Amino acid sequence: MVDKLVRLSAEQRSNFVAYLDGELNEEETRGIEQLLASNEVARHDMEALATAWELLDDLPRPNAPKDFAEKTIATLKLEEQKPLLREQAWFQQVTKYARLLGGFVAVIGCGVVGFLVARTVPPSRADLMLENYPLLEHLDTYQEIGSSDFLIRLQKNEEWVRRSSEMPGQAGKGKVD
Amino acid sequence: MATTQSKTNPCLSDPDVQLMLRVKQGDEEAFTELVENYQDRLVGIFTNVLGDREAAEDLAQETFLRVYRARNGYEPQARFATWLFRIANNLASNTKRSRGRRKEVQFGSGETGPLSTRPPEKNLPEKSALMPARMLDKAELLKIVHQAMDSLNERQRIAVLLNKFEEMSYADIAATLELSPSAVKSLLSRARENMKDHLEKYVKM
Repeated sequence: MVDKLVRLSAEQRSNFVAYLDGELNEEETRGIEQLLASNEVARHDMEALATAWELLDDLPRPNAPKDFAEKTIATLKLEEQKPLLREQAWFQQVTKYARLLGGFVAVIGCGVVGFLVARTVPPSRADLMLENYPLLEHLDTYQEIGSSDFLIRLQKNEEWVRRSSEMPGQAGKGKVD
Repeated sequence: MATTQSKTNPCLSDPDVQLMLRVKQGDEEAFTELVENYQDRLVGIFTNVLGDREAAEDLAQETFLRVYRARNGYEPQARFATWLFRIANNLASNTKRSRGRRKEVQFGSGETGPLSTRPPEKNLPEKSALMPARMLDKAELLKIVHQAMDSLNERQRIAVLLNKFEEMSYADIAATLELSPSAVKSLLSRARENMKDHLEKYVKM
């Protein structure tokens, strides 16, 4: 039987079902009808398809329960009566506090990020000059002295410390920075 | 005016589309009418897709709920039945997918479930169904038809049911399953060849 079926082209066989369903155009319908008239295999195949299709009539087609529509409408009404989540008071309160909390977290977050960014940025030339201002202020004097050893020795000299503390307006000036 | 509208949009000549447009305007009676028009058809299709009557009723109800929820944005672009069965098909596919993750659902399960057509004590001996020459009783035949339906993939089965139960044209099935009409033609052709091959083993044709 399989050998005989091979004689039919794939297109012809795919048109069989469409023929049974009345979905072919006039030309295709004529082609199938000519084939059926001349080919016993095609006729058998077509009959088998039609019989198989008729057997589906035995499939169960249960009806909905009598109160189906009533229950469906009742479910809809229940659904409509139930307020939407976003309209419920508790949800609005939670949303309000969540927004406040979110804002607070955002501010803190921005502060932390700003701090971290500021730490990672290298100091500018102006920052360095400001930081070393006490040194720069007396830079000419320090350069004139040439060595800090002399100043250290001077600071350790008791006579110098005594005299410098006695001089009005000079208190503490004997200290080496 | 209505005639002019029907000319511009052929879907408007569908009485169920008109009912749905009334639902959109807030007419509850129109919705009840739609439910009553389609409840048996949906339950019938779902029962044969899922093999479970109770689940079929739940899914039919969910389909109507979705239709109602979608009423405000409803714009008629197809026959009402096409739109309804598209929603139903999506629901059935999702349900089958989620069920498939748990276990395979087969038509055969209907034998002892709500689809059962005979008492369990009359279960068939397997061999009797394999005898082509033997006259099959109605229950045996139904079992074999179920098996033939089981041999189809999900899309083929839905297409067959829409074709058989709803007598939908290929164009309407195509619109429902979001396929081209030629794809539906080959889908149905393959499906019915499969069924024929399956049934041929048991039933003299």
